[in-house]
Amino acid sequence: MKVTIYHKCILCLILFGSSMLWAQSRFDLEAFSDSTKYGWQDYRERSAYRQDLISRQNMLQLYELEALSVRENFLKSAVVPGWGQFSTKHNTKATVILSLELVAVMGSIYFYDQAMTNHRIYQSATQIEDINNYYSKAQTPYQYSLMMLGFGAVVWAYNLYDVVVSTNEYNADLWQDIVKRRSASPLQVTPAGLELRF
Amino acid sequence: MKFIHNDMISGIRHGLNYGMFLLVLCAMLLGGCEINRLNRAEELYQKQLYAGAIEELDRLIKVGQNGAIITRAELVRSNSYLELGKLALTRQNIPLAIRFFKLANSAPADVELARIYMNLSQQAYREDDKALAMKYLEDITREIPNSTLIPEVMLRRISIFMDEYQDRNSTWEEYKELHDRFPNNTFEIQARNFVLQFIDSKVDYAMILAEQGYHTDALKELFELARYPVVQGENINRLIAEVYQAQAEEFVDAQDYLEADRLFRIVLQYNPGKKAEIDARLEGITSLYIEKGNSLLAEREFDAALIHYNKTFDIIPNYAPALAAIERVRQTRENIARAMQLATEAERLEATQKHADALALLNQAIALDPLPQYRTRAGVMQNLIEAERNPTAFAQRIINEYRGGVLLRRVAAKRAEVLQVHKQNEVRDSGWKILLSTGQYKYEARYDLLTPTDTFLYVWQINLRDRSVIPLNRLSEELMK
Repeated sequence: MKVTIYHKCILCLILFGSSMLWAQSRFDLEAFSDSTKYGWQDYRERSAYRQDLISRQNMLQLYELEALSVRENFLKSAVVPGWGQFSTKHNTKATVILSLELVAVMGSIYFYDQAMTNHRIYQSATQIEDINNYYSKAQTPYQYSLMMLGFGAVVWAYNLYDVVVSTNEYNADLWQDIVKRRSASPLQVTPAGLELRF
Repeated sequence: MKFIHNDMISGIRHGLNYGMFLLVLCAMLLGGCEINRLNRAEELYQKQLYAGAIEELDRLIKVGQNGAIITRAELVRSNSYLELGKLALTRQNIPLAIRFFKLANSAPADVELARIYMNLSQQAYREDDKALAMKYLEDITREIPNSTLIPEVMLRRISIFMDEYQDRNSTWEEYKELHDRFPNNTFEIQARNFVLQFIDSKVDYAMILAEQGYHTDALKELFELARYPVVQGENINRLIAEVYQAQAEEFVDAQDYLEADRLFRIVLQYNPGKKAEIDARLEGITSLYIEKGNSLLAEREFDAALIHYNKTFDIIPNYAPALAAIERVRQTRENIARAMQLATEAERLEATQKHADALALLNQAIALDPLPQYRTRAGVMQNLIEAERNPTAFAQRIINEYRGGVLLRRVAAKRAEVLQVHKQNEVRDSGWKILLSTGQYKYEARYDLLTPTDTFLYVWQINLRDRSVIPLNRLSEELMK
């Protein structure tokens, strides 16, 4: 019996499921409901954590306004490689990706066109020598065309991978920036209201 | 042609496989994204799989890089714990519910937690375990200070303080906080009944303090009572007025009329009904003001004296004795200033050896302002005048008058003592001799007694300027003792 990828996937799923079941059977409710498991030893520490969370929650709205959507950026880069990177302000990387993609696509088209030209001559050739000659002349650019297409695909794939990473990095940095701006601002929004620091 | 077509078909197939691979890669990439992990956890939360959501969120919070997503994850986790707590509550698993609500650590969880504590407290109270009931109430006030149940909690605490422990101080402190934080709240109004049970004793205590002279402490107590609607404002104001009046009388006794006057006026603010009494008392104080002003004037405290004199006008406008006293202050100040001018002029004349003129000016200054230093300087001027007229006779007179003539008497006694031992002709007596000494206005007085066996040489230096006599040898010094 031939083991296909499909079978491998099923096997993995079964293993994963059984491991989950095993984990479920060992679920420790005491540990799960331990009120000190996040490091809050008493009500003061709980209160301090809550103040911090509320403070961060107040910054979320600002973050949502300025943050970039991963899906949107992914689509942008899928349509035009590098577009998503431009949105995340990684301009150099975006330029390189776009240039490589253009070179790959144009190169592929160029070699494909050459291959087709030689192929047409090969089809119309009547002499055995011409037939062999143009056949081989059609083969080489065609292979180059495929290579360039493959290269383009690799660049496109990398571009998709990179745009996800870049967008996440951008958003993470954006949050840090908002936190920094807020801590530097003399006017603070606190749970008790507005607070002006001198 | 066939080869190319085969190659193309093969290429397209490879391309499709490659595309599939890329799509799977992208899906994995997106799936590993923090936002998607958060979305998955939120889906679990929506499906009411709270434990799963919490596990997923815990992992995300632990490894997440994006603070915003972590914050959102923490919020979802809090909500998940809240829901778990509610589930535990529906299943009557109170300890578990408490733990979940603590883990939720949010305002809605606090509401639930406070409600649980309150129920537990009521249950403990019903079971007559007041200490445990109190503990749960304290848990609410400590852990959930902003709970809407706080007024009720405070009322229950007051009830236990009074009914169980008879602890009036704690009751009062708790009531004060209840009123300060929730004035006119239903529970605050109910709590007044407990406080009314002992409020009269607090008033009595304040008045005892006042009677024992601790006016400041008494006022502190009364002012505190006046802030709360458990005493009648009019009564408490009347008592405050009484304490202020007693304090004012103490200041009258201590002759601090300014402070007494201030306090009497405060009395009127708190009890306007005492106006006639206080006015009469203030009028009595006017004469005391004048007396105090006079004593201050005698001590040359002119500004303080004027304050006292002027203060009488607040009680009796144009009070004649005060007007006269103020005129006296003005005249005294003028006299003092004039005397100072005369003394300065006398000093200038003294420098030019015009001692008689200087003496006349100093006598005028003494008449205006009899300061001791003016008298001393006048005495010196008189000495200098006499020293210029006949210095030897003046020096002799100083010796003669020194301590009532003690020098003359003792020299005479010594002479008599010598004559008892020696014959008259053996004793040589120089008599008093006045000689010019070194320094201006300084003379020497000598008296020598010589016998065959002993020699007694007395010598003093006399300063005509200040009439001082200084012995110049041990023998003379002994004689002066």
